[in-house]
Amino acid sequence: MYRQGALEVEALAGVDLWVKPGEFVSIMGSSGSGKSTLMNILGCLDKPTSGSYILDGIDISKTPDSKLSDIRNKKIGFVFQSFNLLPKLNALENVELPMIYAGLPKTERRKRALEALDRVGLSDRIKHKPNEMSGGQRQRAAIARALVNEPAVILADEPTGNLDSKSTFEIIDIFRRLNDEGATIVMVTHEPDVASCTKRIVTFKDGRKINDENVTGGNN
Amino acid sequence: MHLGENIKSALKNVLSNKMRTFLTMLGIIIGIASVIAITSIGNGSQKEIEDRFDDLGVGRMTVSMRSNSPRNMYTSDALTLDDYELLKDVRGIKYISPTYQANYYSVKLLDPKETNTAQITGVGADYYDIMAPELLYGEYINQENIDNKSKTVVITDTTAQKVFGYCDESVVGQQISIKSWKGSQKFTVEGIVENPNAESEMQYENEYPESIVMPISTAQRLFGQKTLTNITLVAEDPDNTDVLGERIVAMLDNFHNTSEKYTCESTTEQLEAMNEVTGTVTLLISGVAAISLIVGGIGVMNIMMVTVTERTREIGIRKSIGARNSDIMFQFVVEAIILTFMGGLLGIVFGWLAGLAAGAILGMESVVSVDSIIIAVAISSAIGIIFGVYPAEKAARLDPIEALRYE
Repeated sequence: MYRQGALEVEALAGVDLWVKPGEFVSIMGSSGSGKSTLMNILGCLDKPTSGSYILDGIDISKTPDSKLSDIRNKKIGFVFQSFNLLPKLNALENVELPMIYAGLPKTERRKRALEALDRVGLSDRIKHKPNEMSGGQRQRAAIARALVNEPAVILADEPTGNLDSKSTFEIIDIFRRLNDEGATIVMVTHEPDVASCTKRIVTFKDGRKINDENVTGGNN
Repeated sequence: MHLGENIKSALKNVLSNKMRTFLTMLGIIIGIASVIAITSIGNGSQKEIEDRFDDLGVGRMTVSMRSNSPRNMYTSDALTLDDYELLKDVRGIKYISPTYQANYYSVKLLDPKETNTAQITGVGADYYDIMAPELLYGEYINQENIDNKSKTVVITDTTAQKVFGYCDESVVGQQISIKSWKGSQKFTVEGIVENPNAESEMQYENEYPESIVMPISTAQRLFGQKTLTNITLVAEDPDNTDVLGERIVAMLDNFHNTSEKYTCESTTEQLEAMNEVTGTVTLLISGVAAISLIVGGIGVMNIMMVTVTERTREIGIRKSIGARNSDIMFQFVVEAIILTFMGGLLGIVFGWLAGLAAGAILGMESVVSVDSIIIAVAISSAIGIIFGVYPAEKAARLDPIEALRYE
């Protein structure tokens, strides 16, 4: 349930979702289906009013708010539709940011950020600011930022929503490669093409899970 | 989050909009600059007073009758050479001299076309050591002159210039006439000293009386007086003048069989009194100037509120990647401190320049003390904290979901 003003709106109800390490899940559904609420809960930005959410063995619904920022920092990597890079920082600095909050020393930060940028194929753009990069490059920088703290799960909210089809498949390719290397990815999308590139599709409607199937063959 | 990273990113943000930053800082700059300028002028005038007292001599004391004595005055209470003899051998006194001063009697020039009033001071042999004037030619009044009641005088270089039209070695030995109600008498110039106030007297032409020094015995006879104006002395220990002063006053009261008729003021006390006045005035004006610091602080707070709103999305992003509320809070407080700290530094520079300019115009020295710089920096940083905390707290409390949705 999601509290909006004084009125309690039931955004999600009776959702039972189990994501195992190493999975690549896409979540589909029309707007108002409860995807965003689910992502907010999965991302530890919000807590369910009832029920429980267990992330990497930690019961988030029982975790005090003050600890949630640490969990977001170490266990979750966000990738947003609108990239959400800090405009005044270059790619390298953006990727370093989560590690600054994690309290890592500068040399370590630099080393890991360069590695992460290399993994998304952005080594030649590290000094560029977001407005000097294409949409696909920005999203790659955002992915590098998401994976740099080696999170338990990467949460991608419509990561290709603002991209042309060429960039879309570049990004999907990167996700699949990361998944092959062991990363767990949960991605919200409303594009069936994109969803079909993942290993499992969960469909929501009116706050309920209506379908949950593994993808076989096809683009996979 | 590291302090270094915070300062770096705060500087980046503050410098990315220079005009806004400057306008925001202006209140702080003006506030700090005016406090620095005022205190520098205050310190300067204090230093000037101290220098002047240094010229007068540290530890110099003047024994005289109380001008506002609560009791009736009797002629037997007046200071005479007997009092001088009494005090002469008191321990703790380095030099002591009786003085008799008669103001504004006319000095008649040897070349009698011009007259000017004169301040005649009759002195003892120690007077030279007490006042330490710059002796240019000849000799100062000595004990032999006093014993002989000799008609010798010491004049200043400016007087010599006026009377003789020149001032050199040859003036020594020449004569001047001094006219009192007892008639005109001739005196031999024994020595010439430098007039320490020559510069300021020049602006007023002849309005200052000529300063003429002669033996105390001669002066008393010239004016037919047995009394002294005061007794001047120098204490061996300038820091202990009050104890010595009390002892002297007690001795005189005992000697004259009176009480509370005499006073012994030291330059140290006068200096302290004057410094206290200047200090209070400086503090008062600085306090008024400091009000603009509060206004400046409000300006900083205002702009920080705007900044927080403008950067709502940034705050959401930072929170989503793991920034704690305290990290966000710290980030914005540091930014506010940077604003006011830089304002403070600029204020110090402008205040220092304004102090110099005002000093030059007023003809005073301007002294920027390390203390006032440290205080200015501390105050401006404190303003950053005080007026930055509220906007920073507002930023820290933002809901990340709402913040990320903000356009």
